[in-house]
Amino acid sequence: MIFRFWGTRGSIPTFNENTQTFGGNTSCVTVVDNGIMVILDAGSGIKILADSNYIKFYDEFHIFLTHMHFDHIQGLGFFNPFFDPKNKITIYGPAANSDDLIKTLTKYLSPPLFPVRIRDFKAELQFVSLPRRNLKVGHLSIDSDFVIHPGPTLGYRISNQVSSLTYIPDQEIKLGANHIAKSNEWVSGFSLAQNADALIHDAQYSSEEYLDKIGWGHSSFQQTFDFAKTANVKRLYFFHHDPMHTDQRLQELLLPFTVQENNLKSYLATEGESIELD
Amino acid sequence: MANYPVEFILARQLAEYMSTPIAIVDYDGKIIYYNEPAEYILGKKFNESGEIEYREWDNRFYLEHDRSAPMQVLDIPFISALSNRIILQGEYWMRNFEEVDQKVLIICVPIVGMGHRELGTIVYFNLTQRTS
Repeated sequence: MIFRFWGTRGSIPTFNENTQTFGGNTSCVTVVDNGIMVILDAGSGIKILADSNYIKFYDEFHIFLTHMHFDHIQGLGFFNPFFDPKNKITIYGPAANSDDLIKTLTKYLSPPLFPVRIRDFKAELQFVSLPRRNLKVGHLSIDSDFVIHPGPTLGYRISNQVSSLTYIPDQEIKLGANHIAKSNEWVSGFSLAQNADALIHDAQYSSEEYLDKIGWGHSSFQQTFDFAKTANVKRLYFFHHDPMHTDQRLQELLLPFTVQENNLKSYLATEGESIELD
Repeated sequence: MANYPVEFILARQLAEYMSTPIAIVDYDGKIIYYNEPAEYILGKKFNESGEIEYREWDNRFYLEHDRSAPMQVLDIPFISALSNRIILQGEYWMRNFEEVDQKVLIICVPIVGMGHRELGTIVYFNLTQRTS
């Protein structure tokens, strides 16, 4: 299983001389394993994926959206495979109370917000509302569950026979985690992350910044590290970098977590980087 | 280990900050959490009891006019609020875990989560009379 970061930034694409190392595109990660491609979120990073050779040999795509905030769907209309009739594309996303998935996406993919409508896409489309346990995409098993973030938001765990990757790009663990030391049953996202080989998790803020942004739906580096340690994760990728965090600032924020603890190694998610599990 | 649905986690977070006695009951009638004000009414500290299975607190409720006939939890609003997706309330006599009889007003609010998942019930208690 190989995963690759196409967009690592939170909130809004941010390109300047200070975001060259860790990237400025918003959330998009691919997971490739034995001929299957899974795309996690459709932030602006999916445009870079669409323009690359990476998708050349695929005609079937599975796009898993965590939620409908703009930084996770803004690239959807720029994903070229939608306009090729030979492609088969399934979009998965959270079930909301009022609208189903296609209605919610249509709000963005229609005028006046976007010039092209979903009905103008040429590919064969399918929409699947989640969460669901043990969804199968080829040989991959995909679990999904709601996590703590404003509006219906999912986290995902993708597993093959030997390894597993958990993707929770937006989550404010602390809102529900007074009990983190008492019982893991009461920690949002815990079962998705438990014993994962790799965890990609929201770490938008420093501990100090978090205090001014309680309730905004994001976690600090420290909270995310504690969560990963408790869940016995092997590799943690701090993700959803704050638009105000420069490359240098991100490296400073990572520093306290570079010492390996409980077999846990911590990294900054880096746009363009591929990681092989197994 | 499966964690609880996020709706339960957030409900517990709210309950921990409330002075109102609150319990969270899951789909099967198990009390999975109650806050400190509810400990007085239930007669046990949550840290000591942990979760309380349905069979442990069944038969502790009865109608005012007939204390000789304990009711099953299934006959009072905890479960029917959820299955009917409506807020229900009722006043009952309840014998708590210290064997103290007390009259309680119970308000049950169903927790129907995102995607219309029937998860459980938030139960508000209001103690109106205590016999000892």
